[in-house]
Amino acid sequence: MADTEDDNSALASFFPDPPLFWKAFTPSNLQAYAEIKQQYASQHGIPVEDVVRVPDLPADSDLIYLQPPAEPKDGTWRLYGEPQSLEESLQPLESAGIERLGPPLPGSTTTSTSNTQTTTTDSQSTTQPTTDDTQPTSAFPSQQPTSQLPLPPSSTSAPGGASSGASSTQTHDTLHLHLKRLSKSLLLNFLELLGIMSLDPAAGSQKAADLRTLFLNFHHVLNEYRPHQAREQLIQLMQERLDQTRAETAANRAVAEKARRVLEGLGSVEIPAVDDVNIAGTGTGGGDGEAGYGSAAVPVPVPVGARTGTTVGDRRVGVDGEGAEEEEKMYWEREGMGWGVLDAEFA
Amino acid sequence: MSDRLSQLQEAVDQLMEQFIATYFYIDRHHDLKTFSPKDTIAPSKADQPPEVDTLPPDVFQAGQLELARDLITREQQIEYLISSLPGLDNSEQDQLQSIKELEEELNVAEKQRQEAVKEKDEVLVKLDQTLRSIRRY
Repeated sequence: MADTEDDNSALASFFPDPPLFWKAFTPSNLQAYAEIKQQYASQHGIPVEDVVRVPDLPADSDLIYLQPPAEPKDGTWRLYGEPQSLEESLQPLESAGIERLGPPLPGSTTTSTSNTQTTTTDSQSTTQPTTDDTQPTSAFPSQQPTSQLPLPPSSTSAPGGASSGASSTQTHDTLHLHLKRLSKSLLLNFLELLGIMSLDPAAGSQKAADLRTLFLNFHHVLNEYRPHQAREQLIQLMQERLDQTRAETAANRAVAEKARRVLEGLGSVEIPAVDDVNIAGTGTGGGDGEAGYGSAAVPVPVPVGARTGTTVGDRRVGVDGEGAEEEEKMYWEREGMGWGVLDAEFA
Repeated sequence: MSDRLSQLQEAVDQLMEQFIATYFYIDRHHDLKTFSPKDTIAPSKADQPPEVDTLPPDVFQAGQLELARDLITREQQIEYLISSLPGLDNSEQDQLQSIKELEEELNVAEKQRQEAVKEKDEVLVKLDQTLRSIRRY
């Protein structure tokens, strides 16, 4: 009864209903699934967050709806009518029906056995008139053969996987030359195309097809080079990071060294005074030996009260270094002489 | 800014667009010639757009020159990009080797950095204590 109602509403409503399995998301099911997940994680020794999918759930329970479906077994599926593959690999030029110009890149194991065959198909396709308007749209015809002939995953994974799996020791030094040749050929072929079109427009399609092949080859070579370039970029990034880290270390050390030198300088001057102050309290005690000048009519070496002690303290913090110490000494001498004169007068 | 490989691919695509634009320019703006003195160029009908939009010879020449220059410039850009592609001398094994080395160096450098930071913090604490005691005095 409920099912038929659902069907009716699905037919009648404008927007489609949510998938039927939304009813499986009950609190008890969620709870049960979380427990199963936890159990699975502890069995395999991996954190729970990393468990994407628990295999072997009972198929008749609603719990299978609580997790994403399994990967397609053969590695391919269709999306909007286009076949998709789990193995993202570069399709070799030959299988797309394009003639390969020049040697294959090191690392790619594409064989040129089908070369003769592809050239014939290529020349067949060029019998159709190619105007410059259709050129940009026909520049990437590789999608067409792919959609018609989905390759089995084993064969598509071979060329792409070979370059990443078995590391080659060959270098890419011929790539420069090859690419430069291709780009020069592009210009030359365009010139030839213009020349042909000015004389015999009907014969131009062959040249346009040549240009197309050249462009496709160029792009293909660049795409084959991509993994290499990615590794190269990784190396660059790591090098930059390394330099950065080293610079930071050096800067930190320099600052620490500077601060330590300042501390040592301060320590030779200040630290005894600091200790005295700490013992004597914050300037209120009159017992410190060095503070002592001012209004009290007592000769200098005799300690005086706290009122002047703070001013002495302020003055002392303001100056630093050995020069300050000497200045201090001279100050005391002058002061002492002044008081000495006073004493003499009074006496 | 994208990597050089993508730049190169874009440059090649632009070259193709320039080819098309150049072709269209010439196709559109060339003048008409007669095969023999007896031929005449039929005047274009008034209600139809003309098949070619003939430009004065000097303008046409100048346009051709400019387009040709642009093509050459683009070609030079492409060749420059090709010659500046990174790591053409390295094979895949070299690359993997240097990645491994860099990884180890990075680990060492990171440890050194952390030590330096710790050292700096210690000195900072000392300096802070000293400054505090001075201020109190």
